[in-house]
Amino acid sequence: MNLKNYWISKLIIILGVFFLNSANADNKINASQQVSNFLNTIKEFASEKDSLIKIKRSDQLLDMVDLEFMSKVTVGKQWKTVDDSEKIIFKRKLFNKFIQFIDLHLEDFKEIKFQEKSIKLRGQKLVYVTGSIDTKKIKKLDITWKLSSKENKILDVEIEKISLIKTQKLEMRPLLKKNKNNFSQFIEIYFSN
Amino acid sequence: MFNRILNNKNIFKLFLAQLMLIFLSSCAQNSANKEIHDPLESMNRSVFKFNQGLDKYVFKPINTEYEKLPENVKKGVSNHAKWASTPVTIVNSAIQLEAENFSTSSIKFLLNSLTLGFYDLDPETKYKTRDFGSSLANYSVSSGPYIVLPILGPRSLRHFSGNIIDQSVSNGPKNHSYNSTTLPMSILSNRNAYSNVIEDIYNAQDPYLKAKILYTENRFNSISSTKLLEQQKQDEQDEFEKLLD
Repeated sequence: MNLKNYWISKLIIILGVFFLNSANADNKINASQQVSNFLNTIKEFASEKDSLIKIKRSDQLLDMVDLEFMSKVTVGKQWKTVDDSEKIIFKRKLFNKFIQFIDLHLEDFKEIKFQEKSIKLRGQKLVYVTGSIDTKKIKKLDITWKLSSKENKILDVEIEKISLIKTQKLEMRPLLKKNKNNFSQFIEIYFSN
Repeated sequence: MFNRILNNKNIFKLFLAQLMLIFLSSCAQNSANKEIHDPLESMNRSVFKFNQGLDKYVFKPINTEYEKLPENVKKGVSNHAKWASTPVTIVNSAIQLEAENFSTSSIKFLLNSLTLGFYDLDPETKYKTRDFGSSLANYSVSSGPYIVLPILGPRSLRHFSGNIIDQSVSNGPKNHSYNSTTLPMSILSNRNAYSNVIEDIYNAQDPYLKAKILYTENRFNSISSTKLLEQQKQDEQDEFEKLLD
């Protein structure tokens, strides 16, 4: 009887490890696929001249990033006090800023190539895809994509160890402090450029 | 006679660096702290504006012409600038007791001496760039205030005082002509390599703040120990996981 229990518990452990490993492997494959899709869409966006298709590509990009998460990180605790309409405007403007960034570096993004080096699960909810990027101007730029393992959305990008979301947060901080009680004014000033 | 003057100049530089170090060591700030305080902000902003103008009218047009050169030539210039600064890494790796970085950078420096550094004979071997500022950080000297220097751009006082000592290491008193060819190459190569970053800084809502953030982040990453960086990653992971709940 004891022996039987021993084998059953052993079998449960083995099956548990097997399913956990296959779930982890799935998360890694999905994350890798998402990064690849994201870069392909950016390339298509950069090469496209038709404005309607460009809008379609930008909507596809929008689906691949977690704007709610990015906004929470960049705005900080104040995000909880912001009303829904302001949240929508902020997220839209934040995304437009990203699109403007691609527009500024169109030639670079047209020829962007990503070489994956590793995929690592971090904690229970994150997957980091690390590799290097080659553009027309810059070669072998270290890059880390940070994704949520559950929703498989891009949360942050780290270029040469500098987190874009963190840079954004630090840039916004003094302006947020200045306009503590007026988020609309903060949006207007911050996105005025 | 000329050497004597140069020697005196070096002595003056070392004296200046020492004064700065005394000031830094008196500052009770944790060296692991990433934030650099900015008590000279208004003056720094003026120098930043001056640098921005200089870049617009001098360095940017030069870079536009430089951009047209063949890729191999640009790569050669960048390789040479990096090779010429390797002695600084060698000396500071020794000061920081980083045996692997010391041997890798020394071997690579000697090997690439065959081409005067213009061609990298071993591109696969990498080493971490080290300077005296990073050595000071390693021995817990505070970063000091943030300063923006004409032409050179953003620095912490610790970084700048380290630069003065590094310059004496890489040139020596007799190597004046060598520096006068390497320095412009280094400026050209860096302006070209960071042209995208510079463009993004100028497009920011507050270019001064953006430059300060990027400098601070980049400097922290390049001089911090692996342990400290891993701790930072862990903190970030905790924050992200909490926000994903």
